[in-house]
Amino acid sequence: MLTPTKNYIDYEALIQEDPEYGFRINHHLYKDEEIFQQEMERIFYKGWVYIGHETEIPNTNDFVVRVMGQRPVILSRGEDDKIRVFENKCRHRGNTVCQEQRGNSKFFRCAYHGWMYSNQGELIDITHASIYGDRLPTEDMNLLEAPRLGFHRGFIFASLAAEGQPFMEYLGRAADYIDRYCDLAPEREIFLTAGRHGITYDGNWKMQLENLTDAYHAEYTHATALAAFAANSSSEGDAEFTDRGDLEDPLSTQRDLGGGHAVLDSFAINRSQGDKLRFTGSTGTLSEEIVGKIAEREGSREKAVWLTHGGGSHITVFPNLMILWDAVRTIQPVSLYKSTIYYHPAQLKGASQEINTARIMSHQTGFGPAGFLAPDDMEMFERTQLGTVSDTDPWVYLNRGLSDQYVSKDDFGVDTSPPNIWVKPPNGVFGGITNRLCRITLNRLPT
Amino acid sequence: MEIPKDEIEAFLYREARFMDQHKFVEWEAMWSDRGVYWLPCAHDSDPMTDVSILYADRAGITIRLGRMKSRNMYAQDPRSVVSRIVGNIEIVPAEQGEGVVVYSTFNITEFKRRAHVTKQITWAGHSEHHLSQVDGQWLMDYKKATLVNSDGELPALGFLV
Ligand code: FES
Ligand SMILES: [Fe+2]
Repeated sequence: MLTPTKNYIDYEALIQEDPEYGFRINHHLYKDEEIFQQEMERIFYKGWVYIGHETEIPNTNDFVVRVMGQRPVILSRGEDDKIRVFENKCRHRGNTVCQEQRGNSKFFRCAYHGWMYSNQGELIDITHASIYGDRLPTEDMNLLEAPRLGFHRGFIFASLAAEGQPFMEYLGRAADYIDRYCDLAPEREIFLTAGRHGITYDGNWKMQLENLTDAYHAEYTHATALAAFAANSSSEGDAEFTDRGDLEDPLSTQRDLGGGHAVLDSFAINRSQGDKLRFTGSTGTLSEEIVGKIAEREGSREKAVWLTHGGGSHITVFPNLMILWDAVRTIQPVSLYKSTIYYHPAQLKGASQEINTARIMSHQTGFGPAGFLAPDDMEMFERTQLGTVSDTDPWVYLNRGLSDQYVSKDDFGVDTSPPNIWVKPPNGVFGGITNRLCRITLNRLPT
Repeated sequence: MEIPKDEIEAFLYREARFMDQHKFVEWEAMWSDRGVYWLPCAHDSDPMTDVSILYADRAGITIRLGRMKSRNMYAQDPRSVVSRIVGNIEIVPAEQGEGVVVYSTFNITEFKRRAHVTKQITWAGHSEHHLSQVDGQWLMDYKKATLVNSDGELPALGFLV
C-alpha cells in the first residue's frame, strides 16, 4: 500500500441528535483505524497542536523532544535564541537525530552516517560529501521545520501546515481562561520546571479529552479519592464516600468555548468557598500569601480573589492541552487503542517556594501513575474501550443536560453555551468534544 | 554497631509479603511516626521542586492506605495479583543515629484482570530503606523506591512498591 486509502467516513451518521434517542454517538469513533488516521492528518498535522512551554527550554541551545500526532519532533531554542519545532528525522535515511528527552546542545548529529544539523535546523555537515558527486538534491536538506508557531503566555503551539487558521483565531476564547490561570501567579507567569510524569492507558485519546469536562463521573469514579481528600480515611475499614458534595450543583457548568475548546467552569463553586486557594495544599497561610500578593499587584483584593478561583476550572484546549488545578496536562495519542497523558506541575512565578512545593505535592497526590484520581480514570477509559468490542448496540450516550441547556454569561461577561456538556446549543454547533472533533474533522475534509 | 543482618533481611522479606498480599494494616505498622515514602520520577530529583510519582509523609501514608483499602478504588477492582523478588540486600550503618540504611533491588510481576482481558506487567527498581529501632522493633523512617522506568510512561500503579 503506497498511500493509505482515504475512505469516506460519514461523521454525520456517527453522531446523532434524535428526538427518540437523545444525543448519541457511535462507538466506532473510538475504534476505527481510518478515523484515527484522519484525526492525525486533519487535526494533528494540519491544525494547531500544543508542543511545550517556554520555561521548559529557558536557555539558549535547550531542547526537549515531543511527539506531534505520532510524529517525533524536537522543540529547540536555537543558538540565535529563536524557538523552532523540527521533525526528529534525519534527511538522509530518516533516522531520529535526537535520542535524549531533553538537554542543551548546539548540534544534532545523526549517529548513522554522521550528518550534522545545527539547532537552527540547518544541515551543516555531510560526511564525505565529495563521494556523492553531484547526486545530492540541491534543494535544502535541513531538518523539516514546522512552518508556523504560535505563542501565548509561554505556551508554544505549532502547525505543520504552512497556511491555515491564524493562531490567535484558533486559540479563541480559550485565551481568556489561559490568561486567568497565568494571572494567578503574582508575577503573572507560570513555569513548568518540575519535570513531568506520564500515565498510559489502553484506550482512544479522545476518552481523556472528553473526560476532562465530565463532572458527572467524579462522585462515582472518584469516590475513594474524594473521601481521602476529605481526610476522613481511618486506619480501619473502607474509606467511605459520605459527602456527595456540590457535584450536581448548577454552579458547575460546562462551557463550549468554540473551536473544540471547552471549560468545566467551577469559578462559581470556588467563589462560594470564599478567598482561599482550592487545590494548592489549600491551607490558609498559602492562600493569604497569594491573595495578598495579587491584591497588591492589582490594587484590588476582589480581583485577587476572583483570580484565585481560576485554578479550579478544567480548561480544554483542542486537541491536546488541558490546564487545571496545579498542572498542565497533554494527551498523546500513541495509537488507536493506546494513549499517554503527561502532567507538568505548574508553578507560580513570584510565589514562595512553600506554595510551589504545595502545588507539586497537591498535583501528585491526585495525578500521575500513583495519584488518587488518575488511575481510576484510566481504568474507566480502558473499560469504555472494552465496551466498543460489542457492536450489537454501538451507540453511547453523552446527552446529560440536554433538557436544561441555556446560554449564560461566563465570568468574562461573554455569553457562552451550553451549560452542560454534550448538548446542542442554539447556534447549531454541537457542544460535545467528540462531536466538535468530528465537526472539525468534517470541516477539514479535503474537497 | 553490630548490624543484625538476619533481622533486617527478615524485615524486608516481611514487608515484601505484606505488599504482595495487599496487607495495608500490617504494612502501615512497619512505619515509624516520622515515615516518608517516596517514588521519584528521576534519579537526581528533589521532591520539593520536582514532580514525583509519589511522595507521602506519615499522615499522607495513612490517607493513601485508607483509599487503597476500599473496594471502590477502581484501578484495583479486582485487585492485581502481585509477586515480587527482593534481593541484592546491602546494609550499612546510618551516618547519624543508631539506624541502618538498606539498599535492595526488586522485581515485581503484576497480573491484572479486567472483564475478559488480562495483562501481565513487570516492574523493577531499587529501594533504599532507612530503618531504626523503637522499643526493640525495626521500623521504616524513610523508603525511597526508584523504578527503572521512573521517568517513563507508566500504567496505573495501584499496589504498594
Ligand atoms: S540516516 Fe542520518 S546520516 Fe544517514
Ligand atoms: Fe476523573
